[in-house]
Amino acid sequence: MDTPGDRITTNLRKGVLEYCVLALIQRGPWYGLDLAKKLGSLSLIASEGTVYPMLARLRDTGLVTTEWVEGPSGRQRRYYRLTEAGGAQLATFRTAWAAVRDTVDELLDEEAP
Amino acid sequence: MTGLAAWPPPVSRWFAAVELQLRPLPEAYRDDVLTGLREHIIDQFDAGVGAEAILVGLGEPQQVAADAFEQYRQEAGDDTTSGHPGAKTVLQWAAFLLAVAAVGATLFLPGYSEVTTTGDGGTVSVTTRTLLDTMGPAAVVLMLIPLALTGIPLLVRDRSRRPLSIGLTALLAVFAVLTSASVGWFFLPAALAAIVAMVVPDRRDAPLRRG
Repeated sequence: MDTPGDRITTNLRKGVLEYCVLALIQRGPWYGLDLAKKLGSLSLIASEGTVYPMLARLRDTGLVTTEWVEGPSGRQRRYYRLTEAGGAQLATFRTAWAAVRDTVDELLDEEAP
Repeated sequence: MTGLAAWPPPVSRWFAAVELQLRPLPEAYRDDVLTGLREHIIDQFDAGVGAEAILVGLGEPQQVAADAFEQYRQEAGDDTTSGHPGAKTVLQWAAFLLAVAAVGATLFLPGYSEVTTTGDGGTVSVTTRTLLDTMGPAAVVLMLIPLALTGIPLLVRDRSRRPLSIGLTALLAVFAVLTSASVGWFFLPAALAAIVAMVVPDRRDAPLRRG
């Protein structure tokens, strides 16, 4: 059964997940499995299958692009790469996140009367 | 283990379940999601991961499908959420069905009468004719127009649906007006339903995110 803390954490993660994905891809091309594993290790996703609908939307909206590259086993793998539009979106998020984070931190730090 | 047929049955069943639940979504988006999942599974098998571990990691098909609908809804502001039609789709179906009823009434109900008299002005007979009797196959072609104008929006699910609906609804209204001297009034209910479907807001009003 989900605790209130679980629900809060889940909702917070849902709000930032897309930008965490863009931030990872900004560092270099990723293929789906590695991205899913990384996000899972950071506890940003509950299940790996949920990554692919988000990646499809990011590609559809022009924030990431994909390319097929031959992997170590000789099989083609689909890599995700950030587009210029995705970089701009991420930059916008960084600014917004800094402002929201600082405001929330300030409110939480204030002592109750 | 690249092909679906080569996968262990539990994995094949998992994938088939996701594929089935994603069917209401547009083909291109659906294929993109399924390609990602397929590649994920193949990569996991290549890495020596067992079927059970793969499925545990992927999560339930229902959750993956729900996420796919949620992500698509964010993108398109569409009323395709979890397979349940929104008011827009219901109203468009109503417009289509009203158009079907109007076509049936127009083609098969007697709408024309012909009075004939004998040469000496004696016997008078009145013959009623339907539009189909009067125009023949051309009547069927004419009636395909309102069916297409109300049916095409139901087939389109991507972001072009809204401008397409606006254009086709306007054409339907023009059709009803131009044929108002004869059959146009039959299509007025369908046109009204299509207009209401057009103006009903989408479930999400947020604009499309464009980078």
